[in-house]
Amino acid sequence: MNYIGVLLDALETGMPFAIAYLGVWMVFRLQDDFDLTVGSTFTMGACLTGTWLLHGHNPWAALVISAVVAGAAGAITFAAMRLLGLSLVLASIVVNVGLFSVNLAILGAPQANFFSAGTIFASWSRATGIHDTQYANILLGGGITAIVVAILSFFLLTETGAALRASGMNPRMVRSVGVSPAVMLFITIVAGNALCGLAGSLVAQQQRFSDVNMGIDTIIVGVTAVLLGELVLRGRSVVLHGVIAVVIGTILYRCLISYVLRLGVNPNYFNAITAVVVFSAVFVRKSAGVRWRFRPSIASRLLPKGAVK
Amino acid sequence: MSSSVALHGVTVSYGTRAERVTALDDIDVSIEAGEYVTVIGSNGAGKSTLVNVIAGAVIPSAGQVRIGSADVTRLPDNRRAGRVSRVFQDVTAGTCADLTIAENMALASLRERGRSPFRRILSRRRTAEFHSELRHLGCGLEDRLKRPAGLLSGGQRQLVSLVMATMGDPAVLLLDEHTSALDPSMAELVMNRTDTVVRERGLTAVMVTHNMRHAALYGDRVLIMTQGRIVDDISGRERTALTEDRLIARFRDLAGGEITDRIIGV
Repeated sequence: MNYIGVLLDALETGMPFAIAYLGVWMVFRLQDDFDLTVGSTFTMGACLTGTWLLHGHNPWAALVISAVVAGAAGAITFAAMRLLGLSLVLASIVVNVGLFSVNLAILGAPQANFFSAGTIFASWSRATGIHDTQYANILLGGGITAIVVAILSFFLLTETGAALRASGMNPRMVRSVGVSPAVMLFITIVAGNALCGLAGSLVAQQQRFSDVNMGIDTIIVGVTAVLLGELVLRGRSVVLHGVIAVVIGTILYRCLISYVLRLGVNPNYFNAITAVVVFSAVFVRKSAGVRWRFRPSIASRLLPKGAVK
Repeated sequence: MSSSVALHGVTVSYGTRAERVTALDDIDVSIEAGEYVTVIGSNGAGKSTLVNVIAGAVIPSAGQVRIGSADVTRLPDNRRAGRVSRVFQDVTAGTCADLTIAENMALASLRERGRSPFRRILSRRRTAEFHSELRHLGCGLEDRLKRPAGLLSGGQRQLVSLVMATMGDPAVLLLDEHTSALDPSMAELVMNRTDTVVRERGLTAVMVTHNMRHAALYGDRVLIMTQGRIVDDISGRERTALTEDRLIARFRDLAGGEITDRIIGV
């Protein structure tokens, strides 16, 4: 088995996904909740990109548009949650289902390829003169991921970032220092979905292919990547044991997938393999005594009854 | 700057129309700027609700709450944080377990300074400020600034919460049975520290307690609550002459059959 090949495959295909899983991590770890909208917003990024590129528009603009529209879709989930008093999981499931039709309408077909359209990967390898597609893809994907990691890490160490981290752990304390946990949750959900949209666009551009089902496993693989990363890098530092751990976890997961692929396992079994990996990661964490964090109630994030908005 | 607090006709009730529970029943009370008030009462008398109403965690169904000259009745707690700070009964509530002590203190300082989107949570200068603030406590906490708050003992966490709550001199300091979860010696330490800070800085403070000795020892004024009402208000010369035994006797007369050993004991 060519282990270097496994690693290179994992880096090439994994880097764009790491951005999506950072979005999953933000809600999962910073707010101790699950936002299932990410499945659709990832796809939305891919579908928007497909349509955008087939019309011959600028591929870099596709990244921005995908992130913005996906972030807006996240805002719908937040609005549904707040206005109807739903849990985040329930609100996001409903929005996720609804967005499937939206994605289908955006792409105009269940799947589309755009092999001849210009993508950022094509313009990158032209501009740099790197003809080995895999190296070019790794460099560009890794570079964009590094930029996202740097921005996210910087943000989490600002006052707003610290308030955001604290709001998921202890909403009561956060309220008492004048921060609204609801606003922090909004920022997390919108940013998380924007990252998923961005990742969806990157993946579509790399594969030159969009499919309305391509984001379906984002949440579960995202959680797997987070758990795997946290097994390798254990600690409390938000940058090293949070953001960077997610990237490491993503690469580990992709290594596993590319290893299994090279073994010749039927790709239809991937979902079962993922499920086994999730449970194994949880089991190892449990045996290693890694605590499952405190989870505050939704009610403590909301305004007291009768307060002015 | 410490401010006065005034409640006019404040009523808080919960539940449906068929089963109504009145936690506060038409409360009228004025607390002057710089006054240190202790509140006692049996379980369910409405003490915590009183504190929650001042903090904004509970919005009254009727009445008005004023802090200084501002009417804050319908402002939620996060929008009152510039004026009001509090130390909770639950020792885990005042700090974030996964953040370091320094980060927790930096968050607390947002109460007075407001939040700026791109300012870093910690700088060398601010860490030095926090270091000197903790050194005053004399517990060695200043050497643990970069450790997560979750690794501290309950008493230490409560001390850090107290430091956080008194940063930047809040208009009103609320203490909701903040020593009731601590062992007796730690409770004394926290209580002494509280008294020193409140006196030194002339803070307006409202302290709820179940401990009659603390109620008799600290503060300028004692409010006794039962069934959602303030039934006694001891201040001035009467307060100066108040001993623990007299307070217990008075409390027995007013609260009658409600009284339990747990309330008098401790």
